[in-house]
Order: sequence, then C-alpha cells, then structure tokens
Amino acid sequence: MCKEYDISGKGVPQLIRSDLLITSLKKFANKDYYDNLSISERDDKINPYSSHGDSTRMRLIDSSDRKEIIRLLKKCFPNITFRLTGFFVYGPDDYMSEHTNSNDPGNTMYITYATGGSSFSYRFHPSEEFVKTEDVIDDITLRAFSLKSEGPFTHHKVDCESGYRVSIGMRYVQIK
Amino acid sequence: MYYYFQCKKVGDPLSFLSSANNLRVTKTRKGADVDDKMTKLYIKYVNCCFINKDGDIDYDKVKLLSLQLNQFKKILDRRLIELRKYLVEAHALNKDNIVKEISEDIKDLADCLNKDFSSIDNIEDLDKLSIPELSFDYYTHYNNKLYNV
Repeated sequence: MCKEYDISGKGVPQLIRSDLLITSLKKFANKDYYDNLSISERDDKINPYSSHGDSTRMRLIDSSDRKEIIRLLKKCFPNITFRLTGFFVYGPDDYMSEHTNSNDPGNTMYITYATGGSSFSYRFHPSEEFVKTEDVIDDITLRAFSLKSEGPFTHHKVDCESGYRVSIGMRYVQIK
Repeated sequence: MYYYFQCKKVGDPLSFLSSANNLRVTKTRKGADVDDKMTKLYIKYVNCCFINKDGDIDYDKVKLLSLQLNQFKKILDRRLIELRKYLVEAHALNKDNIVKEISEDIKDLADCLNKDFSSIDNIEDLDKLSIPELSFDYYTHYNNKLYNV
C-alpha cells in the first residue's frame, strides 16, 4: 500500500492511478536498468548546509525515460502542475548525503519506488537527530515538504542499503 | 537608502522607488523592506500590484497569471521551433524512431498550456508556476540522439 509522509504539514498531492505509477516505475527499479545508466558520483566533504549532496553515488535516469515519466505523472497527479528536479536510481549501498536544496525553494514532492531497504531522513537543524522514514517495499512512497531559500531548512539525505530505489523529485503547485 | 512602493491613487498600479531621504509614508506610499521574501515578489511583479483600501500591498491575480502564461507561450513557441528543426534533421537522417518521438513531443507541447490554473490564488504559487514539458531539455536530448554529442 502506498505510503505518504506529509513532512511540512501542507498535505500530499493526491495520487490517482497508483497501479499505473507502480507498473511504470517498477521498470526502472531493477539491476538490468540500473547497470545501463551512467554513474553520478561525488565525494566531497559533507556540509549539511550544501544545496546539493556533497557525497553521492547513484545513477541518472535516461532522458527518453524522463519524458515518459512526465507523461505518467501528469496522469497520476492531475491536481498539480510541476517541474521535475531529480530522476535517480539508487542501487545497493548508494546514497546522497545531507543537503538542503536551498537554491531551488518551493513545494517539493519526492516519489519513490523501492525494492529493498532504503530510506529518506530529514531534520530541521544539524544539531538535531535525523528523522528516518523508510520506503515501502515494492510500492510507492510519497514525501511532500517545503524547501526554503532561507533557514530553517529541511536538511535531508537518502540511503539505499539493499535493492533498487527509483526517486523522482519535483517542485509543484496545486491547481485544484 | 530607503525603498518605497508608491501609486498615484489607491488601487492604481504601483511603482517601486528608492530614495536617499526618509520619505513620509502615506495612503499611496508604503515603505518596502527589500530583504523580505514577499516584498521581493511585489517588486518582481510590480506592474500587477497595487495598494488596497486597507493600505496593504495586494496583487491582481488574473493579471499575474496572464503574465506568466504569456511567458510560457513565448517559451513554448521557442521549443516548437527547436523541435521542428530537429524533426527536419531526423527526417533527413532517416531516423524514423526519432521522427516519431519528436512528433509526440510536439503534440504534447501543443497541448501543455490547456489547463485551468485559475484556482491558484497566492503570489508565491503564481511565481513558482511551471509546466513540465517546457522545462525539459530537448536541446541536449536530441543532440545526443541525433548526433551523439
């Protein structure tokens, strides 16, 4: 069953046709697809206030498939208009370190389909403990929150311990 | 330096002004804190804003939406020109799959503004409004596909 995390308390966009979303994202969450993607890797010193992850390892979804994802999300989320900001597949032991996305503020939703143990963790200040939210296995996990250009930020990170994890990020505006 | 929003009379379009002098605030002139997030939006869309009868800065949401949609239309027209150019090139290179893909993109783009945005009623959302097809990087995508560059 699809799991929603309403992190900023503003609501999560309504998903219709979750069956369609699961079927489509499943195609990207597997070893064959992952192995054919280009690797995106960075290993800089981690600053929790960085707008992007300083230390990352994951793969970027192919641009033809991104267009398919846009068409799919328009059908599945008819009450919003959006701009996609991330299209990643995480494999076993892949990750993205703590960051804020403060350079691209707005209402944000991350749509995830995972086949193993993976999580998204957040905190509102580096002095706090992370709140860990696990992905549902073989189903969709939605996380909605607000990203700000000025503090307090939503510091967040991703860890994929096992399996494959498709993650689609967007900035959205509710239109209905 | 001091910053102000000013209009000729209440309800008229605003102008944004800076002054070396601390001017008197009136019904038609309000001080502006240029570091404030909302003030930045009022400056950005100053032509859509006015001072209302309560003395607050307000905005004309229809005018602002129309401004945004006009911007999208300009981007859309540029994207269509770009895609038609790639369509001709794909034809010339006998890449039928790409011709089909571009034709689908053109169809999607032609339809992408046919949505009802009228329920958006706050300036932040109007500012953040985006259309998924218009933010796609067709240039990189088709240069890769057609020429491997």
